[in-house]
Amino acid sequence: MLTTLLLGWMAGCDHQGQLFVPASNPDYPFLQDLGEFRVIPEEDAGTANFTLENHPGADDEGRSGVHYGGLGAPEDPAYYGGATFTFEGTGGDVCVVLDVESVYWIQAWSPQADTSSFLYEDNYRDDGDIDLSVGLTAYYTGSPGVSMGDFALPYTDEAGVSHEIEFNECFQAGYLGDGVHAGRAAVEYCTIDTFGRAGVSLTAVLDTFSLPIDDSVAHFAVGVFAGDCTAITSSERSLNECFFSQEFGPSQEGTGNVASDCDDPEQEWSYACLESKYCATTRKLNAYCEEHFDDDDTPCVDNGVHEPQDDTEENEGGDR
Amino acid sequence: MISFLFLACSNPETIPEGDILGKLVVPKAAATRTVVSATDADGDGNLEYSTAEKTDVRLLGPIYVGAYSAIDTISFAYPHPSMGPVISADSRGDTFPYGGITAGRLDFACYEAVACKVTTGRFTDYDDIIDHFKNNLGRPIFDQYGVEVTSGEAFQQWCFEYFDATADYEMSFIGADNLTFEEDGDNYVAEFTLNHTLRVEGMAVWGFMDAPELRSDVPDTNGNFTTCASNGGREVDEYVTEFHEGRSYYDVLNRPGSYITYGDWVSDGEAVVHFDDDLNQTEEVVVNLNIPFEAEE
Repeated sequence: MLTTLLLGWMAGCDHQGQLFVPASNPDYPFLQDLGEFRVIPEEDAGTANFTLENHPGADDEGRSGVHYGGLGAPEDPAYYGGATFTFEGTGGDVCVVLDVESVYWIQAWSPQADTSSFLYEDNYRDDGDIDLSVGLTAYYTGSPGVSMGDFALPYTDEAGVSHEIEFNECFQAGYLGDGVHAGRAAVEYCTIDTFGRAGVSLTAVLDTFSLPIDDSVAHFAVGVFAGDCTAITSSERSLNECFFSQEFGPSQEGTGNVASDCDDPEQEWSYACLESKYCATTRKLNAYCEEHFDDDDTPCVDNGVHEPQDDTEENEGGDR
Repeated sequence: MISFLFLACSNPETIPEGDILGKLVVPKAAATRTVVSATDADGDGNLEYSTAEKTDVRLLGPIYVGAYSAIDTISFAYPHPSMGPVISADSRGDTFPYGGITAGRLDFACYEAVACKVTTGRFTDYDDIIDHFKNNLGRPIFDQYGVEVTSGEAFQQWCFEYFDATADYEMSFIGADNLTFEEDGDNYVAEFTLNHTLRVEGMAVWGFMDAPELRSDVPDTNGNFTTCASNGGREVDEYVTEFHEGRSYYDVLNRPGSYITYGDWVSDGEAVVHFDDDLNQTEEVVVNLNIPFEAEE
């Protein structure tokens, strides 16, 4: 009995949960006003995925194009963190897209089925989550760069009863309908109809929902594009994890945001190379796994279809 | 009367929420439709249809009743609860109801063929449902094997199998003791309670009846209700059977104007609730569903 009590007491003291409380980082603000963004016209958007090296920049008036940045933790974890920026309505549809580092897959059956499926090892410690809302600047209740707010305002009905109305216009559809946010670093986007509101200021709100526990910084990329969210996709570009590439920040293991040579064995499975393989339009990550599924350093976990064997030429999968 | 004596003693702390008692009056005209009867006299599997005008309480669909701040008589072709701001061009304003209830609700009656087409409080037994679908809607019920359901016993046994049930009282869509309405001259009447409703002096109680679709030219869609989400409710996926049981949309009381269509009946908007200083309801509220909405679809 005494042993049981002691063991129970020891187990109770073993876990304080401090691991999951992110530490502040002086290099990354927990609150940030990103200023004014421009609505990127179709001719500037191109058709390929955006990268850290190749994305629409600021215009002559200093309004940002695609923005790559990072949000950290406050010293006092009781405060909400996040970022805001403004842009002007065009009079038509605009699409706001936000992608947070860095989930590309969860450890499950690969969605990129080739001749066989692989499990990809996943580092759950490197995923952050930031939620996107957009509404008229006049309705935003926060103070940009000072405190986060929302678009909820009181409405008094004809009998004098007050109700809260949500003026967030960024409706994202989930399995059970509208009004959801993507989870765990998955890309968020929504179409905003600015009909009759050309030149009117809108505010986008990026609420920090969770920070990666490996570095306490959620890197992200965000941009505003002309047209609805189906118009900015192409045969080379979808609204998925690859829409903005290299948004995972310099702190990731390996060579940082950009790999110089993914054929170099030293860099082959770095984070940057993994992303480029995952996002490649012609040669998917599964093809690499087919070739290297029994290498020690690959993130590809065999699903049991293959017998472990050496990477001999006859076993290489190659392009399929 | 006795219930009002109870109410008078039931709110010593003046809690703002409470039950609102009322009576629903639906003219028999709302249940008078040109019904479609389907027969297969020569047994060749080809149905022949005939029509006749008929008054039948089973033709009353679910009736949605809510308490609202006021009535808007301008924005719609019929009295409609006052709305808050219209935020999206694709959506009406929210009416912010204080509470609500249905007089008969959408229910799933065991067969995919009747999903989204059965209202509680309208049927005494299984044979009553079979008769309604065949002789009012012109849509005999067929089971998952394509065999017509012609006996209440077969219907009952499948329901027991489907719901793992053992008694008829577990089937909320039937029961002679569960019927919603009583006849009262030219009307059907029913008592209702708006449970746990915010009590505001002078608030309006308003409602509408979602009438079943009933056409003699296209009987395939007969019995459908616009307030039913056919892709909602429990999802059934067993072997080759795959369908949803259906359910009411979640915002019927919040945006009723989105669901009122040709053939539905709407209340006149004159029902108002009064309270004394302790928020006790002073008199029963009577909601008359006496306005047929006949605008073309």
